[in-house]
Amino acid sequence: MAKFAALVRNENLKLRRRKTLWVMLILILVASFGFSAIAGGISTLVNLLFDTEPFETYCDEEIRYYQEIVSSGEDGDRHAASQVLLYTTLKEIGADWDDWRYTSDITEQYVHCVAEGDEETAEALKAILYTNDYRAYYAMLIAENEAIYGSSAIADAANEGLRYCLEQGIEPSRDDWKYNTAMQMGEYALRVKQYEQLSKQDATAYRDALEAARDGYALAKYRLEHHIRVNPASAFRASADDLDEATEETSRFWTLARAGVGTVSIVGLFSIILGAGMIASEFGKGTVKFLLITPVSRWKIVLAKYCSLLLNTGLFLLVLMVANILFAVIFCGGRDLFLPALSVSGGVVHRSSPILTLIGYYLLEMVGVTVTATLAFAISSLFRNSAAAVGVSMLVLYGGNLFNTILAAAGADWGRYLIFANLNLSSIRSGPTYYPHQSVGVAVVILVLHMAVFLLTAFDAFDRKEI
Amino acid sequence: MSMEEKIPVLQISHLNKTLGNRRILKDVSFETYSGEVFGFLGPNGAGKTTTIKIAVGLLMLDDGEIRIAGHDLCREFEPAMAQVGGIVENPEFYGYLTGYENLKIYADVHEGVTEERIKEVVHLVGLDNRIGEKVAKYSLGMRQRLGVAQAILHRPRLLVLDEPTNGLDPAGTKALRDIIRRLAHEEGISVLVSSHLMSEMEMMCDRVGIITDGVLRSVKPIGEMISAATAPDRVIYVLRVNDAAQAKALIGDLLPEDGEETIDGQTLEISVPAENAEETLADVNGVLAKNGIRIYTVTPKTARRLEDVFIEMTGKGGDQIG
Repeated sequence: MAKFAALVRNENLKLRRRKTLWVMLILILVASFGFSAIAGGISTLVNLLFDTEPFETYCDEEIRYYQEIVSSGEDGDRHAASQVLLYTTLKEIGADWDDWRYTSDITEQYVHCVAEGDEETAEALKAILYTNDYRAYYAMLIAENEAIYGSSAIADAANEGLRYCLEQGIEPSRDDWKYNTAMQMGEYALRVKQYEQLSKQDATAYRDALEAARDGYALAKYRLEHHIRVNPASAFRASADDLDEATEETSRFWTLARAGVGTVSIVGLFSIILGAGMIASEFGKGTVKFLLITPVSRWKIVLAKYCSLLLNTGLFLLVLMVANILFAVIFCGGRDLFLPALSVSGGVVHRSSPILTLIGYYLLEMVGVTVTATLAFAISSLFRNSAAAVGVSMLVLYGGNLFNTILAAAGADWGRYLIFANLNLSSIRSGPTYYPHQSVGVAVVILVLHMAVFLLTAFDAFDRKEI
Repeated sequence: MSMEEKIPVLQISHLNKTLGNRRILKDVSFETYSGEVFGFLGPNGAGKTTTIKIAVGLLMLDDGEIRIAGHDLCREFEPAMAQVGGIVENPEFYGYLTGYENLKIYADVHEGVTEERIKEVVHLVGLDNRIGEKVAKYSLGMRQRLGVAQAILHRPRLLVLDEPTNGLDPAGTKALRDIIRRLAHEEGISVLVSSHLMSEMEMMCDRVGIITDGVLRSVKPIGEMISAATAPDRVIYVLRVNDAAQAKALIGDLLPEDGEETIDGQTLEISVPAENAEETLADVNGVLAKNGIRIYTVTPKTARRLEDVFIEMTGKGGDQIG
């Protein structure tokens, strides 16, 4: 055992002493930086540019633009005239980019009422706007709901979010996650009540909808109670609920971190090159004799090399993950890093670590990488040729989809059992797949079989090799 | 070395090997003993390197048995190989590692090789000053020395050296020869050396085996190998005189049945019956002196060069691939 550890250590030493490994690590860092800068950095830059304009100037520009349309007489539905009133009002009340009177609907509502000739509401809204009294605005909205639903439990549910904001002193700004979440909570509370009533007539038909509404309510309430601005889990969801999508702020940090999983392909590239070189280089340099005139069985030597390959692939992955997270913090800020990911089932909220979820996504991607690196290792053992090993493995890893497309198009259903269709576990999990009814479990079994064949080939070829 | 003490270290019996369609080795059997340098001689392609590669586990044997220090190489690979050190063809190292690191990674897969042992071996091969340099910067001679260091690092009982003096300068060759002889005769290692340099083998080996076309022709102690090929009932003397041609004529008259040959203007070889050889020589000297020939030296040529024997036995001067 000590001897085997020494073998693995020796392999690692050989890799460390060659420049290749360091060049690879540096390229991984460069790739991670490049990706994060493009995917995360540019939006930061765009925001900076847009925020620089004073709000008043913006209003003046809009007023001038719509006035021109009005004076040209082309404004058939008086939309432009309303817009002139909107921006004039915003300018007069001294609003700013982050003022709730700009970021909420109230000003548009006011302009709409003026246009529709609803003078009573218009006056009320105007008073709120000019006195900057969001509490009065909430009171007005609550009264409206009561008018619609009557003073029933349903009206209370619909007003739950508004009342919460009123109590907590939260301005009705669409830029404020608390307001948005409170509105979400109110909407879900209303849905719960409505579905509960509907369930009385037909329990089975509305069971799922009711459950979803209860979950949504529980989640929104939990976030408000625990001051969780965004739910990192939303970055990992394939498709969000319509209400979540509309109102929930997504974490730019976690969105970038999730997208960064795609950079694993660079680890795939390097681990294939490494795997292809481990045996072939010993033959190329003649050092295989040095390696083999030792009291160590050949299979142990191959196993040590394979272990070293896996260890270094793991190192690549670790460096990439840390770099991706680090650059995401640099480009998007790190305040979301330690947020818990929230999930709900049966109305109960569970906290989990989004970092663990992220690592899980990386590991899922690594399965295909490991299998192709093993393939490179096997080919290198079989033919002592690293170029062939790199070529074939890269074709499998990056060109696999081409085979899938061709085979699937040709109606060759047996293609589902080939390595190409099973390498990408994350896309098999989330779909769509090239063949119907593909599952992660079956894919794993097929990959394990492939790995077994590759490894047996590698061991057998090296064991029989005459030097 | 007395014959009674010798212990077989490498035992090769009925070794057969076919590569492709060619039978490289045909029923090769021999043993090497502790404390001796065994020379393995043969023209290029005779099967020397193949035999050596099989003995160090680089090639598999088709048929036969190899035991190293009593362990069957096929069935007890690790214990057998623990007793083997060797250089096959050229010593190959990791050029991007230092000499020391190369030895270290080799030492790590053997039992009980300490740092002190590495230093000791480095000193033995005279690489003390350069061991910290990358091997890529080493000359062939230095690599050859490092190869020997690596081969003896774990105190193997069998040391296998394939063409060890390849590419070495005369000083390097002598140094290596001294190391090899010391290892065998003082540390009791069994050394198997292959070479096509006959003069080298003659100076280095205690016993030699000659292989041609995959067949081991003869295994004998070096002295026996040479004298066996020489006519045993005759002694050759080399005479240095002032006029070899005249001397030859005079001796021809004295010894009409024996051979005499002029090598150059002042050197002459005569072959006389072993019986009373010295008396005959005295007669020759008398005749030459009486006739005014000045005799500078007389040397008995008891040994023929191994090379002559080799060429005689293999029937070729190494110019044809067997």
